[in-house]
Amino acid sequence: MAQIKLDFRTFFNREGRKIITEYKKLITKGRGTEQDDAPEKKYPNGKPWLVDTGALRKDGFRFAASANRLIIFPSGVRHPGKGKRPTFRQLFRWHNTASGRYSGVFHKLPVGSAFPDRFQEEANKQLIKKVGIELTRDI
Amino acid sequence: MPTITGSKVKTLIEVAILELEAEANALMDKALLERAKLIALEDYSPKQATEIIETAILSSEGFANTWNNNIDRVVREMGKQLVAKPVRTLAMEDKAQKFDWVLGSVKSKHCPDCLRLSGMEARTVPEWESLGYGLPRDGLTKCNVGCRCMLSPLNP
Repeated sequence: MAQIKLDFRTFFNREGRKIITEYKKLITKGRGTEQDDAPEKKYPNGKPWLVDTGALRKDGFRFAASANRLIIFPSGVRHPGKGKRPTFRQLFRWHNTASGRYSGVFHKLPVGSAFPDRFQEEANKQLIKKVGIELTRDI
Repeated sequence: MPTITGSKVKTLIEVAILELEAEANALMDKALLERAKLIALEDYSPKQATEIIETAILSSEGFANTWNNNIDRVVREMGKQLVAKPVRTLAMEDKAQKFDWVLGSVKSKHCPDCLRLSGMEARTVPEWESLGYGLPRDGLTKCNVGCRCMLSPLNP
């Protein structure tokens, strides 16, 4: 009898995009995954350190999906702004750890994320289908 | 709080999938056994027995109920690790955990309630609630639902 193997590639390709959208919303609201406030880092004269050019939303997030893996991570692309041009990975490292306790993004899924429910639904669908196929094969 | 890296999140999902596959294979073994019993002991044809077993699996009845509960457990455990928890849930898991009332970032001034509460020593969640102002963002301080404060766990 064949061993049952699950394949979440298509599901993870969809979920990767959904989770990135959730992270982008947190960034826009200035929140972390625990709904805490993101730190503000300003120059002494009060101007913000980073100007939002939309580049973060366009190029800052990446994901990779396979049958049994989903990885969501900041991209290594350089920010298009003037000056030192850190990568988005460097920017998120600052963003996630800059001042004191802040839950950041990427470390976990946001509070209230329905990913586990959707994952269970997909798992049930695949399991029932594959068990059914094996049962029928064995008649 | 330990930092969860991208690679640990990947591992948690892989582990959950391995557990689900193990459950599926256990269910398969059980389904074949139950079908064999129906054929041998109750005179069903293989096709009839297969239909009965498939119905049981679809409706999570009988032997399939345990399997369904196990799937729930695997996904729930994964979800606990993957999804961030708001502070009330953290507090329920560790009732002795103390939190500081930390002022949030606001454009105007902080309300007098939050200013006073942020100056107090760290307390547990029930201790903060016993003061009559709820927790930050509950809406019971003068700043109401505009409160931007947070409870920050006190590290030992």
